[in-house]
Amino acid sequence: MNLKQLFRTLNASFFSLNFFEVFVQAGVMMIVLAIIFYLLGVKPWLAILPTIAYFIVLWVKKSQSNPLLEVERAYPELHEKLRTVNDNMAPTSEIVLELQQDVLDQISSVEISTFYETEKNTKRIMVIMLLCIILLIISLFNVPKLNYEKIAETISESLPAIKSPGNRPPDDVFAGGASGFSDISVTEDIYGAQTFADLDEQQQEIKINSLGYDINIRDIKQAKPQNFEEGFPQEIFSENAEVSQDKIAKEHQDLVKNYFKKIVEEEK
Amino acid sequence: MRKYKDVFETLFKEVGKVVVGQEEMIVQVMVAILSDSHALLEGYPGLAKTLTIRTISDLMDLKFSRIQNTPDLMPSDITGTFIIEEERGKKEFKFQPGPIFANIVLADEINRATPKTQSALLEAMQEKQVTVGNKTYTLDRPFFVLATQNPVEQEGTYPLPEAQADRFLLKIKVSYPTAAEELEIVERYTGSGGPPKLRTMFNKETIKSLQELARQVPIADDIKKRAIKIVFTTRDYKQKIEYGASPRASIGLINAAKGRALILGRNHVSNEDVDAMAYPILRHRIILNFEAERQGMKEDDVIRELLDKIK
Repeated sequence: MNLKQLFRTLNASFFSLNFFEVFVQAGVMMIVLAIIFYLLGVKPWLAILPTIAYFIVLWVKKSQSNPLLEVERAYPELHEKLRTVNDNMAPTSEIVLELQQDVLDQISSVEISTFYETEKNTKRIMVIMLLCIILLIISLFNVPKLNYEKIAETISESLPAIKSPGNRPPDDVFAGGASGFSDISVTEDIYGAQTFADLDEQQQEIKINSLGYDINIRDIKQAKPQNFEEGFPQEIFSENAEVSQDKIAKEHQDLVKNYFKKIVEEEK
Repeated sequence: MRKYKDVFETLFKEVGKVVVGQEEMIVQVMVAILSDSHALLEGYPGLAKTLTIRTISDLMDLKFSRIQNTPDLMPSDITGTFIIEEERGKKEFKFQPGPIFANIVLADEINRATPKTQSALLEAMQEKQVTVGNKTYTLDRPFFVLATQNPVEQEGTYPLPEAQADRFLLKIKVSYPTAAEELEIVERYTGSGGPPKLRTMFNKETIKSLQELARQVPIADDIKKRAIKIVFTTRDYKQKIEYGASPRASIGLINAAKGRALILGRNHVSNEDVDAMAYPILRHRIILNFEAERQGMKEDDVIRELLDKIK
């Protein structure tokens, strides 16, 4: 084998290796994107577009590496010799001839399999297989797609309630303002005597039952046709809603009334 | 390449019979010879600068001459002059060649000569010919000038201007020997017995063929580009360098790297050769700015910084 053939073979081998690696990485990306797109309700085949872009970026990055440098790094006895021979192909002197012969002798120990990242590529292929199984399960068992509305609802429900003013600790001080409460001395409890705000010591157990919304898809049937009333009701009137009335005990109402009276009297 | 490596190893062994240590200096002097160029050796007195050059010239079947530079030395003392000679009753002018008409010229303490005398020497170095009166005399090849200078006792000296120092391919710094080397020097030169006998190893033809061989040592394109980048960066490195090296430094660096590769028996130029030769090539071709001097940096420190930046 002469040097030109040697370098051609070397470049072709590295081309195949790099192509395979980039192809496998792009494959992983494509399946991951397909699963994500499926869950988001987007057509899974659209994952091919970002995969192509990823493939191109990776390929450009891989192409910038110098195969001769890779071989020299793996085989120190060829350090700087391969590149020198590649740049001085014409046998212009006995030194160049000797160098070329050296390279031809030492290149026989180079194995292309050294540059194949076995562990990494095996892991990538296993990941691809696993992702394919996941994709299969998702499509077989019809895993529900993400429901954005429900997610928003869940988030808003889980936000903590705003604290009421009655729950403030007794040593909070008003900053002052139009209400005129700034004249109250700091040592006084603005909520009044503690006896006014005693709560019952009874312990209550509250149990909240969760409502289930299990739906069996097999029970879903076509809705029955229903006739709606055509006419409007003849009489339209309003009534007080009982719900709007506060069911506060009379003594508690008097408590609050007296409290404000006391504050005003003290002010005088 | 093995046989050339053996040849140089034998040469160094022969030089080693007279000069103890100073291997790097000897290698660099040989690099200058293989590059068909000149070298300037700078070091304190008594470090075997003159001894090394004289020993190397003894090993080569080449004509050697020595010029001891002093402030009163005239250019004609170097180049030669016309003298009146009487022959068969007739008086005529005859050219008496000066010490420059040799193959190896040792110019001791070149910074002691006046600028006018220095320029006569430097012109011969560049043109490899001497003009006296209206006649031009070509110098015999190979022709090397190995100059020495003392970094101390600068009073009453005429430092080589940068443009003229550029004529020297390498500025070789000679350092003190180690304790073990100094012990050997003392044992060798305080005992009985005369100077060792040296055998002649090279003649003119051998040196010419070695010079040609050195030029044929191949170099990879990326190493060549890196060497040029090193020289180029000296012009852009304004943080520490006022004036950078000229393209002559790029040519010199690559030639010197090739020479070093041949001496070490390598059949290609390595980055190691470029890095090793960067110091003697560049140290007399760059002028540091005030910031570098304020930090107490020397040329070698700045070159080291550059090499670390350009990997």
